[in-house]
Amino acid sequence: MKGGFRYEIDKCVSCLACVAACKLINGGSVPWRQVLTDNRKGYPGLPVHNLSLACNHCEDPACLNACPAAAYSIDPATGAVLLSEERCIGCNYCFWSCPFDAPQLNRRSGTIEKCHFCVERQENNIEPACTSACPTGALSFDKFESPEEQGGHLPVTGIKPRIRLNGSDRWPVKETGSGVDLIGMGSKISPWREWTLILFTYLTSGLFGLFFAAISSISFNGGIIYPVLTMVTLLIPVVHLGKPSRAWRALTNISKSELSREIVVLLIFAALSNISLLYGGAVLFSISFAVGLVLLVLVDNVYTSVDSRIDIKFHPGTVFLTGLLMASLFSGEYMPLIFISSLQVLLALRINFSGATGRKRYFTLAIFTLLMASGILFIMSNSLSSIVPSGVSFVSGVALIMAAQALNRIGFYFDFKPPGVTVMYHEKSNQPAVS
Amino acid sequence: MKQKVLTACPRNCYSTCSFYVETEDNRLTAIYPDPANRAVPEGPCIKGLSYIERAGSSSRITTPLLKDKNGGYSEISKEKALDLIAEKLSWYRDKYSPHSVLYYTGSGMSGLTNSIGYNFFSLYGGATTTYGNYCWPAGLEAVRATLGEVKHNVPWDIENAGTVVMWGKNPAETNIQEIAFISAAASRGAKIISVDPRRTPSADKADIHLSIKPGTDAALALAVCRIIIEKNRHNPEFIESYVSGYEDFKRSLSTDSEAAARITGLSAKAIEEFALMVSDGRPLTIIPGYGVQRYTNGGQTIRAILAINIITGNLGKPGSSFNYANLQGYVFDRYKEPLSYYPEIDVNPLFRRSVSIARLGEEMIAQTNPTLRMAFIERGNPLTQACDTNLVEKAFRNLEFIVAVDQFMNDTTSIADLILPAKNMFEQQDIISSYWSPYIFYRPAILTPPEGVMPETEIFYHLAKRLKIEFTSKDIPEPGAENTDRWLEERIRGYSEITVQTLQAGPVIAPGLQEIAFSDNEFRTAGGKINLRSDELSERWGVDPLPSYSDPFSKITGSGDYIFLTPNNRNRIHSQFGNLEIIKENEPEPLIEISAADAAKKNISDGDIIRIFNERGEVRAKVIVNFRIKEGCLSLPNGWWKMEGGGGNQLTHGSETDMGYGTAFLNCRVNIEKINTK
Repeated sequence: MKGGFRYEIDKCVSCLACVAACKLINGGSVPWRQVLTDNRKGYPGLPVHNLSLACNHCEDPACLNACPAAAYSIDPATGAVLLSEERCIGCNYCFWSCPFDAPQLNRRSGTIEKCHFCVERQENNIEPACTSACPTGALSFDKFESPEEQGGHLPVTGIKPRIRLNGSDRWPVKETGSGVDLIGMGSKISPWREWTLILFTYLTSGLFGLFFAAISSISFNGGIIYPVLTMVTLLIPVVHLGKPSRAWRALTNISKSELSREIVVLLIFAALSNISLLYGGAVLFSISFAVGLVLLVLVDNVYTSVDSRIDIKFHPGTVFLTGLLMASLFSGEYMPLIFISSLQVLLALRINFSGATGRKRYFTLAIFTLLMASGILFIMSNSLSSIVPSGVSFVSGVALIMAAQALNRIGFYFDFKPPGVTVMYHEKSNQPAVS
Repeated sequence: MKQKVLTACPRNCYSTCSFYVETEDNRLTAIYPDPANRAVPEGPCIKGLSYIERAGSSSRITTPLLKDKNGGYSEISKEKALDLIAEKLSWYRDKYSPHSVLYYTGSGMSGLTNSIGYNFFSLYGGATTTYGNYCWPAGLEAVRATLGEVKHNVPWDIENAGTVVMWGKNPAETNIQEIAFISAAASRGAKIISVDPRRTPSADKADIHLSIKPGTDAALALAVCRIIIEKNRHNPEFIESYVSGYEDFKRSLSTDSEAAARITGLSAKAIEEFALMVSDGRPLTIIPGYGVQRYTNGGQTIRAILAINIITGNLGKPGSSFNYANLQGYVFDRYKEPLSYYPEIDVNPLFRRSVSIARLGEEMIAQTNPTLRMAFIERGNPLTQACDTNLVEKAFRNLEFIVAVDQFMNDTTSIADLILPAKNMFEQQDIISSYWSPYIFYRPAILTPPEGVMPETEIFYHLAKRLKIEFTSKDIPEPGAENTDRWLEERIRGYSEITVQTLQAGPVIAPGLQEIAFSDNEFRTAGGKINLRSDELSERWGVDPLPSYSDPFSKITGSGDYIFLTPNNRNRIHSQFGNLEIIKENEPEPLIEISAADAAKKNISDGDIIRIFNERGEVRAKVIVNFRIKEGCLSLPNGWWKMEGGGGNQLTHGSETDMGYGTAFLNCRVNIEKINTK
């Protein structure tokens, strides 16, 4: 019989015996288990709740499905979701995907670490270190073959965590549409830490735009710029990895991982587009262009499969929109450029006024609009008037628009909020009392 | 080879957990609960678990260390260390008197073999010792004089209570398994109340939290008694049969809820509601903490709180109890605490000179004829845990030679001239009991100590040999496990039917245990009744014969705008455990807790460095701003070493409690000043 965690919210007083026992027995470098506390500061009139969480060894694990390197497996005897550190490439995508923040990157080793359900102890009929250690009986180990879908104390995620939560108290849960958000809005993604990904996705849009410009223009065939940009675009995500030498493993889970698919199509597009620019031909052009469009969608899928809110699917900074915009810009097609820009502004306005993403950002929206509008004006002025020397105004216009799109792309990472628990509880602790 | 052995934790803690340890190659590899122990069936706390690190800690002292001229330490052999100590002991005895040596022991490790040190110093010719206790004597004396014995219902009886009051106690951090019984009571419909100047993790679990001004608990308790009697919710039959002094007590109750509200900082309405809740006829268990009696009015406070149980008849029945301390497991003592703390009762002419532990620094310095010149310190860290530690440090630095026996470098060992490594709890067997659960435990020798470590019994054996003292194996056993067992067998002979062998099989319930204390309604006071009025206390300590409230802060020297609290938290037992890596993960640095209201007034926010100070000293540390602590109070967890940036006792004043020779740590006021912003 397999087992799972049982957690009685009423009984937990955050004594941290579970966290300590795990660390003392398993010695992880990142916290494999953590106790979250809501209302840590003790705002008057509000209850304080604790929640001890580790990997819940889900029956349909988000981490396993997300992992591009096929580093995850399920132990048939215990149901434990196990991570092979030898296979892990340190891309952090499992951390993004897991609503419980169970897999965490060990920055020293460059690989993910997480709870292994004490499989060895279980094989010897000893329960996991954490459940064995709980002195109040709040956290215990239960035998159940298959976890039922949780409602009530845990939102429905479809991934079937092996945990049963009980208690009269209700853990504050928000259904956010992106999955689980156990305490409140926040983000476990830091845009500044993810700068390599911002750069990579931005370059991907640019690469697509440049390719389109090359195939639609008579005078420009990509020259040396295109292959160089291709190489840079391919190298940047490798730098992002905790284990760059294992980058090839990112192709090993195409059947499940959105990230694997993205990388495969990226490689195909890189090869096809360069070949077609070298040898020409309408058929190759068309195929490459189609693959490029698929690539733009797949890059966005990496994000929308984790945060599926409408705010993200229809974000003004998706790679799809950015890619199309750059294609219009580089190929001098102004009508689509104006159309996509207007759409971006409208989508940004929508998020600003109706989105559940967080605070209003009139300032950045204004800057973005201003940059885009002046950029477009500069470019248009190139053909309409002779006040400014034409080359200068064209280059300035392109630069302004590129800057606006970079801002937009960074904004995407601010709005992108994978489900999780880690960062939010700190945020909540600093919120003023509401009663 | 993996082995699994049952042992018990000897720390100065309510729970005294028994648990299984798994060892392999002389290393501790895992800890498992002992489900047969009804008080702690789910296992020990984070500190108990931390033995996995502590037993083999790389920062442990494993060889004798001698201070060199530059103030550093160099390793020396056991033989050399013993030679040097023997030489010094003999020099000071012959040149001055044995009383020029201070023998200081703390509560760091409990066990019967601790008396061997006193045997040694008796044979040596005596020593200056300490009297009193840092922790709990005021309350012990209050309960002893009122009920005749210090005992309470077994821990698991809390489940039967209809109302549970955690009065200044925070079991979620200091007695974790008790919170499980309180949760169980709550799930059966009990009301849980916390009276505490801080909203602790235990208060988080309570239905009602009364955030009381520190030191005013007696005023609240007496107002509650007055309301109960006024509303006719007391228990006249119980009072008639078992209580003496009730009429005097009733007449003395002058504080009404309005007056109590002004004193305690609570609302009169809350006080009245509280009074009705504790007198609703359902079984009432009051669990006072030891903090409420660490004031100069501490004994009187415990008497006042206990009066609620007495006038409502909540003693001697399931779910009805006053859980101050349960000494039913202390079966091997001639004098039980608190009497054993009183120099006039536990008379040993060789230890005729002793100094008050509350006023340690002051009294050490004051000793003349002979003045103190040497100290032998065991199981204690007085430079962290005494009151007014800067003065205590001065007193110790006045000495010529200090020997400290300890496992780690801490505030005290770092001023010692010679450090002897102490055994850990897994390296020598002993017998221990609990002041909460009713068990008596045998703690086996499981691990072999490192080469340079001698159990204290062996230290004294070798010192006695070197000093050419004549002794028997009853005084000091010869080295070796069998000899320790034989000594223990001899030590407990005649006290009860328990033998070392029966204890080796597992924890034993104390013989004669009353699961429900006082269920026979026998009160071993002079008159055979519960003394609401106690002339004995009045004569011995000069206190009001009736429980009464007096403002503790009117008595102390020194000034300051804030009351300074030093509560125990989950991470330490007094000054132990805080140095371990696993504990540092939770609490890497000392944090001073301040209320959001006070922080706003002083323009202080989370993470700022502040200075708290008074005429005795200062502590600089980061602040944590929250809504948990009462306005006008600051707190810094007890046990943080000064060398780690803590050392809250630099600020506390060395005064004794109103009774029992306890220590009034919480009679302390400080000022604050912001140093810099995060």
